[in-house]
Amino acid sequence: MPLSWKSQQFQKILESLLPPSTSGCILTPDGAPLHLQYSHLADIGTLPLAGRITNQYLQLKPGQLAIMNDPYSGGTLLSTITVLVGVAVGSKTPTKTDLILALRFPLRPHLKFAATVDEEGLRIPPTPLSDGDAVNKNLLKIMCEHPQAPQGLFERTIAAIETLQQSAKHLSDAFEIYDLNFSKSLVTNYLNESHKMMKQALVDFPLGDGRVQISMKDESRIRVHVELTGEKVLIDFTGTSASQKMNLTDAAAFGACFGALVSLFDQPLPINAGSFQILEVRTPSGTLLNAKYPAPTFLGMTDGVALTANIVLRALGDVIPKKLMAQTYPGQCTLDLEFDGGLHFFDTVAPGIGASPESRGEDGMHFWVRSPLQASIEEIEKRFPMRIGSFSIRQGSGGKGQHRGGDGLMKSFELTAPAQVRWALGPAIKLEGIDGGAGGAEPEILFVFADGRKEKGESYGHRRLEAGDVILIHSAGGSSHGHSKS
Amino acid sequence: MSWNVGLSLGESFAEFVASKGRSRIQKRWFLPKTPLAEGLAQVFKDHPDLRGSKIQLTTKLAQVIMRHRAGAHVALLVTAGFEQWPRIRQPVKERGFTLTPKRFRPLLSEDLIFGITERTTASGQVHVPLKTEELEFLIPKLQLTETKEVAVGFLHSHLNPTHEKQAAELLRKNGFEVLCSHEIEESSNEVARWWRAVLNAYVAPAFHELEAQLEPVKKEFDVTFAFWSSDGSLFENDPRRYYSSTLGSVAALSRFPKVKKMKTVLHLGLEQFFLIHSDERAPIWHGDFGPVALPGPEFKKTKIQPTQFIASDSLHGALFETLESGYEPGPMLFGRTLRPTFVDILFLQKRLTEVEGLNGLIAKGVEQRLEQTLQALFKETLETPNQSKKLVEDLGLSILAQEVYQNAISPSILCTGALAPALVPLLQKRLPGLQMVVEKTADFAEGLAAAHVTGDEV
Repeated sequence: MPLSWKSQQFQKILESLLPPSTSGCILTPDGAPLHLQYSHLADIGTLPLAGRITNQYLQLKPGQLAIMNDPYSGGTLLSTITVLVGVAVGSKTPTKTDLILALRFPLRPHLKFAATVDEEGLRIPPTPLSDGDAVNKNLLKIMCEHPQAPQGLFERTIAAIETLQQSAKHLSDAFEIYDLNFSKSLVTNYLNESHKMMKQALVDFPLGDGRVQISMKDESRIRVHVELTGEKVLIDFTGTSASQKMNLTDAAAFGACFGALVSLFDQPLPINAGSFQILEVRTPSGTLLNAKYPAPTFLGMTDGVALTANIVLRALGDVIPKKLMAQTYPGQCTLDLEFDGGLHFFDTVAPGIGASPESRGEDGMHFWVRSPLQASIEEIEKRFPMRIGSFSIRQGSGGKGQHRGGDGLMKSFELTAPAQVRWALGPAIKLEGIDGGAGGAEPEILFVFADGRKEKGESYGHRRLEAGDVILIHSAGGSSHGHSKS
Repeated sequence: MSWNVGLSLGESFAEFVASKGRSRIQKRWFLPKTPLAEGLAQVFKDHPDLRGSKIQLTTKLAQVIMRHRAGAHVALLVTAGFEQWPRIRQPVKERGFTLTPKRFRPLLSEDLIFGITERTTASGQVHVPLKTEELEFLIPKLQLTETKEVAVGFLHSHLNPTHEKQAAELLRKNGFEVLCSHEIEESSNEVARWWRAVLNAYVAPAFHELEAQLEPVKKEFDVTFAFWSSDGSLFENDPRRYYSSTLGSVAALSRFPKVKKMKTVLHLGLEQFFLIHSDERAPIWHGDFGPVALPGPEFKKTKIQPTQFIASDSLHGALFETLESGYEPGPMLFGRTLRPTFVDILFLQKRLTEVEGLNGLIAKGVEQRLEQTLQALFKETLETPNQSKKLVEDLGLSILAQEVYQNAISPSILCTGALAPALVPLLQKRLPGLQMVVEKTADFAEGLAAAHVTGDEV
């Protein structure tokens, strides 16, 4: 039986509140998520934690605001900011917080090969941001004056708070529109029914287990054992190593696992505390999937979550062969340019998607990111001293097989002013196909200097470039499925 | 005083309104039964004093062509190195994670996108001159594929259109109809301008055909026709603005006199529901194939649409699908299809009795068939399947009310459209904090708006 009528109405209310294509969460004061919208894998596990820890320490009253980005309190990248507000539902003199609303927005990231998270940027633990009924703009201005504060922090935070406050008002009035009473039993029933719904969706899958290990060239490894028991999915990362470079928090690792699970279903399912109950994840302390402060987290929260989700999918594919996907490279081919004078440019170049058992992979698309459209070429060239020479499909980079891997992309940047460049193509792993299919082409970065010299870069690096130098990024191809016919 | 005459051409219905002082002539007809020229000819025969009028048209023709992908064979010329950029920039279909994510199908096959060596910088300087020999090599290829329409989109052409103009001149000399991205008035990013140029070219033949259909009416009754554009102006025979007619009806509605006070319009038409913020302008419109440079009033199609399919799902219960049936073949109440839509629910709930133009189309005995279909559909998924029509209507109206509430930018909302008189009282019950005013000519609002009647005459 599906959701009861009241739960269906409650779900419609929850789905209507946050702006589409944004990351955000609606939770109970003790941190149980009722509705979650994500742009990145890590959002799924971290947004509820952000709400829980923020309210645990700050005890938000209705209308009170908070801000945070700390990865160890439920944040992701330090350039991704979460704002939260307490909401009372329906009462004419609200004093008790019934729900917490959280909205998350990205600012331009900064790639830094840092030894600690505090060297990666400004870290904001859960911090109250209300001054009576207004926003504490003075405190926000102080944050913005920090040398590592991301660009646009003030304006974007104010805009996000306005959206959040509007959503809070709409939440409060929505129950009247639907003629529904908000109550603890409504919430409990909705979560219980969501849990049943997820269990019902799992029934279609066979029982069994799968084991996968991926080793990287720096000798770190991720090992996973996945088990489908019929009522639950158990994911155990025991045997995973520590890492110098790539670290995730356990919340982000949970998000990667749940995101991988969600992608298996052919229809949308609610993401809330009820549906979370079907998943149990073990991430032993000290491993790269359960990093502790002050380990740096940039690479973990970008490439690391994608790699984790890919490994989980691979292991699940051993239990559910019709869902066995060929490999999509987890790296984002990140490029960070700091021009003399302070201008900062950041870009990623998406890989080709691995093939499925039935079809070829899509070309040049981030598999685990749902975010707004890429910036226009004209806008980039207007704002930064560079010319984008070309942006095209990297023909033939997808692995050959019965179902081909998607092709990667090729993008060229000609600098017209000097800059410090940092790049991270992604983890150094072997790209392999499935069932005899070939792996996709590896990512590459090439430099063509103004004097005509050419040089290939390593997977991670930094250097200084002059005007006239050109950077060429070739992202990875997706791996293929099945033997090639030719 | 002369007649103000408007014609709103929907996908399936035509709405004709002529107004002079307090006199009004209005008629709605079903286009699949009565073709446009025939319907118009009848109106002019019945009202000979309308001869000689200028008729202002809003039309959904461009949307229909887009939906059925039935437009012209168009080639797009872009700066070399960016032939695949329009595809790379296509939005992803799926909002959530899925194993096989796909982009929305692009409008053009990549076989029809050609790169030409040229480059203008972000300051408008020519960095690489246009290689006309590449164009000369391409022209016979295009002629072989019987391509007649070409869109040209070079980077930074809005700052320096020299290369686009050179290319257009050469192509026109060789008989092609050419639309250039620099001719899009509003400056915006390259893909939005390129798509607009492509779309103008894509729908051009359909508009030429519509103009040809209207030609005999023009001659016989001495009338002229002008199309509403998304920016609120009128145009005739201008291929650069064909696609801008897409939001012409929205622009016309946003100019209703009372809207100036109320700022928000909720249109509940037979074919579409949408919200307009009359004071706000958006330079870019986001379609399935990405952003398009199409300046017009800020408008939003609501989540609930009249011919949206109703479905049942073992996990979610009652669902409003994103697919719409339109009126050809139409909702179940026309007796030609088997899947219920929201309009069918409204019919069962007796909300359509006063809507002109529908009565002759409703099949006999369809009520019972609809009831049985709904019961069967919701047998396993609703606790009380015999209550399904009321529950589904309630849910649909609640979703619509919530969306109206969240998007209202003033305490009063003007409501127009054939379904407004029936639905607004039901919505108002859910929205006590908003004043919802049904425009007294609501049921023919689209035709009236197309006629662009001023406040004194309404």
